[in-house]
Amino acid sequence: MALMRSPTGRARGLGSSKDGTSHWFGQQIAAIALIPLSLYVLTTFMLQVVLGNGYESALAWMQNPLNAIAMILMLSVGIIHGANGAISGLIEDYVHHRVLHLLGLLAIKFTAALTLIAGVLSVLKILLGA
Amino acid sequence: MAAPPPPPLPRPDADSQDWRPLSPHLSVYKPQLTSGMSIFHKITGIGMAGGVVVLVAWLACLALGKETYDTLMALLTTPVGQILLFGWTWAFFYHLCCGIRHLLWAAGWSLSIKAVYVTGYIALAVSTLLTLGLWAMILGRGGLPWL
Repeated sequence: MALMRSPTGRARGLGSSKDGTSHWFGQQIAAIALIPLSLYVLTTFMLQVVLGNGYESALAWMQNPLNAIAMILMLSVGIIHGANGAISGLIEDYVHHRVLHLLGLLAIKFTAALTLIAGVLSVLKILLGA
Repeated sequence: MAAPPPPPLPRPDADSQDWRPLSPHLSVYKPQLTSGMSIFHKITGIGMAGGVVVLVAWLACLALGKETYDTLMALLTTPVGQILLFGWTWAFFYHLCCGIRHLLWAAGWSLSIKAVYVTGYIALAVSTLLTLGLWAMILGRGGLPWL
C-alpha cells in the first residue's frame, strides 16, 4: 500500500485519519433514529404551518411534553447527522482549497451548534413557559 | 528485489504530485439513475439544512410570542413560502427513502445492479407519493388521519 502514496504525500503525513468507520457508523445510527423521529415531528409540524394554524394551536402542540421531547431529540440527532453529512459529503469531497476547506468546516460546525442550541432553548422556553 | 513504483496514473488535475484515488470527477461520467440519485441525496440533505434553520426560526418565533409568530407565519403562508415548504417536504421524503436504501446496502442487501435500479425507482415513486399524499391529506381534510 505504501506505493499508493507519493513521497510528498508521505512527508506531509496527511493520509487516512483513521476515523472513517466511526463517522459512517454514527451516521447509520442517527439515520435509524431519525426515521421515526422525523416522520412524526415533521408531519405534525407541517400540519401547523401548511394550515397556517394560529399561535394558540401551535403553542399547545409544542407544550405537549411528548412532542417537546420528540422535537428536541429530532433536532439534536438531525442537526448532528446533517453537519456530519455536509462535512463529509460536501466539504471533504469537493472543497480542496485549504483555506476554503477550513472555513467551510468552521461555518458548518458553528451554524450547527447555533441552530441546535437556539432550537432546544426555544422548545424549553415554550414547554416551561419561562 | 522490490517492484518499481507504478507510473503515475493520468488524471484530470495533472499538476498534482499526489496520485492517490479521488472522489469521482462528476463531469466525466454519463448521467445514470444511480449517480443522479446519489447527487440528489446530497442536494436534498444540504437543502434540508436550510429547512432546519426555518424550523428553528419557527420555534424561536413561537417562543417569542404571538406577534413574532404571526409575522413568520405570514411569510410561510405566502405562495413562495408554501412552494419552499412543498420542496422541503419532497426533499425530506426523498432523503428518507434513499437513506433507507443506504441502510439496506449497509446491511448487505440489494447490492446487485438490478436491485439498485429497482430500489431506486421505488424510492423515487414512494417519496413522490408520500409528498403528494401528505399535502393532499393536510389540505383536503384539514388534518392528518391520526390527528
